[in-house]
Amino acid sequence: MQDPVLNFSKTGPIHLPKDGRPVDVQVANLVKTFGKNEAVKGVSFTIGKGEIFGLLGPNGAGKSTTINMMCGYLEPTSGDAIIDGISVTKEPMQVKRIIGVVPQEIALYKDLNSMENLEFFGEIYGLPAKERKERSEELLQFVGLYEHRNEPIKTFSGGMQRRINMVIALIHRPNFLLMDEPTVGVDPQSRENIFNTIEQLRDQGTTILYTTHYMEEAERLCSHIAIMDEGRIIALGTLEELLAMRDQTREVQRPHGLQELFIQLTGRTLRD
Amino acid sequence: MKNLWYIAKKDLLQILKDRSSLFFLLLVPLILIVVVGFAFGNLFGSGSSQVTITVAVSNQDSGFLGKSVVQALQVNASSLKITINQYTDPNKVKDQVANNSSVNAGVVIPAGASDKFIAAAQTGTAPKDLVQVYSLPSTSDPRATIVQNIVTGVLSSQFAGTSAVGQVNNVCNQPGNHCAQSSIDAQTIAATVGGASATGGATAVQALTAGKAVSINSFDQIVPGYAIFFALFGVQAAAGTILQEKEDGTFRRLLIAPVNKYALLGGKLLAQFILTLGQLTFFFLVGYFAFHLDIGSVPAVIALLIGASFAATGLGIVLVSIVKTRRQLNAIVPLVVIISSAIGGAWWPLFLEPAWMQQIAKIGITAWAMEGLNGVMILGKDFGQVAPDILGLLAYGIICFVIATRLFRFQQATPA
Repeated sequence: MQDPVLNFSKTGPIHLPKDGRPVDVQVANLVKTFGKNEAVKGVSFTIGKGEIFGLLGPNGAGKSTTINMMCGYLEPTSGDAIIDGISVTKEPMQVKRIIGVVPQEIALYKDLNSMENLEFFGEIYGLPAKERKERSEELLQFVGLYEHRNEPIKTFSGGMQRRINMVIALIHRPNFLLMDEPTVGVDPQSRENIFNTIEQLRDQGTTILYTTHYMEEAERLCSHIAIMDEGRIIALGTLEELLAMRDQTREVQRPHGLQELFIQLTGRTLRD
Repeated sequence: MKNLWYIAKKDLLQILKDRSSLFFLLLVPLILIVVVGFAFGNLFGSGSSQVTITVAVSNQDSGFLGKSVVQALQVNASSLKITINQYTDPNKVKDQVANNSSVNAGVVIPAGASDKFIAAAQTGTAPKDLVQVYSLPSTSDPRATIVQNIVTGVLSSQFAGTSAVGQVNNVCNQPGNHCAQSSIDAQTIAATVGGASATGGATAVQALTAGKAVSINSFDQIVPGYAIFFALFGVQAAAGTILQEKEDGTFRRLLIAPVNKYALLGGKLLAQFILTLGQLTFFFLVGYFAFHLDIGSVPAVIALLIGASFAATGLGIVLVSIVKTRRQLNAIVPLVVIISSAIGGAWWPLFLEPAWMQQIAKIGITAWAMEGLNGVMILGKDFGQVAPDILGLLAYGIICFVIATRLFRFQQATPA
């Protein structure tokens, strides 16, 4: 068995990890170009079944574009993503049925209540009426908002809205969940609730791609982590493998180790 | 197709839950329709084609002329009703015309007018300035003209009769002619000739009618006009939901879901179409039951409302394709709607506008809709006669959809 190839060069090749995990998601040489701007420059990685995979990177690194290609929102310029054996470029509708996406922004209908939001997305994903209602109630209880089910979303706090934003992506019991910075701007209690939910999903066998700017979140949740910058993956491995590669001359220990490595790899220059 | 309906249903639910939108889409227009309808009731005529005139009269003359003029002004017919306010002081007449807005004209017949009239007629010269007719300076009020024409008619016929008496006397006085004095009844001759002069022309002309009388209930114009006006404003709310969804991220969320992107857009357009048609139907039903709208051909009006809703939906998607934010949409919609309403006949009947303006107005939805609705509801046209307007609205919508398919962007630029 060959270890994952970790390459710190921003132009060097990244090889798919071969660590014996049952692979659920394969991303192979994804490229996305907007005019003359190459936003993603050949990204490749795999995610094992039931694994939480962290995708980290500064602003403008290409994380969101990568996620947008993986979920079928953007068509890749080249490359492909295979999710549960289905190609996103060849069968995007099939892929959309088995994935869930928690967007970075709170994408909810704020005049509607949480049940109406959940039931609407249940309709969109083709759930029968009875199952739709039961699943909506189950999810609201899952995130502790069942008592607020008839209140308009616009009356919810930021943390409550984030929790609804997350469970809407679970309405159709997806195999693969893409979570794009799901804890931005939430209080510690809501964040803990979201973490618990994610861990329960992982324990139930859901594969998760998780992007965040908070290194401690990645350290807590992710078994494998990729660090992106300027459209490429510049580091990839387990948390221990990545920590082992940081500058050992400096005495920085967890939980600050990943943060130190991140700055070491991506530099201290401010990003837009 | 199911997803298309789910999206439309969700959009309609959102709008129904937004009370401020409902207030603007339904209640504000209704209040305006009622206020404007009653305010302009007199301008359009409140459903009656009878012309009513009030005249201030001072008859100082004790002879036949004064009586004839006053008698002629006493009209109470289906098309004309004249109310006479009599005053002994001639200055009161001038004062009433000048200061009482309900008085349309004034007539003063001075003392001795009949004698002066007979004297002038016997010499064959036309009498001058015998009767004074007063109206406001530079007035274009046709009611003052009607009064003047009646008075002129009376004087003309009387002049003809009096001249005839003089002519009879001249003939009798010719050498060789002899008329027994008692055989010449001057009053009978004058009355007979004058009466013949006054009525002979009128009976020689047969007055006929064709088609339907153009009688405008102010609500026949105000309800469809303001309904179309506010339905176009409704585009701002309905089309705005597309931009709002783009800004909120829900549009992207739906594109990530297993929904065909054209079903997504179709669902939103269906919601806009239903909303616009519902809004128009609501105003017409209120107008019919509360203000007794003369609907005319019901199938034609229904077809026009469907056509107008379809065209408005097309206009909405074109605007959403051009602008990027709701702020831009909120700036451009009032501009488009107010201009097209002003020249398109939303606020006054389109057929009152000059022909060139009616043609220019056809670049907007309002003119097509109002030409058809005015035609059916005011001019009594049938379905076939307004079919060009219905087809015009449908073509307008189709052209908008073709343009929108070229310009509409599903994906937004995303952060890397």
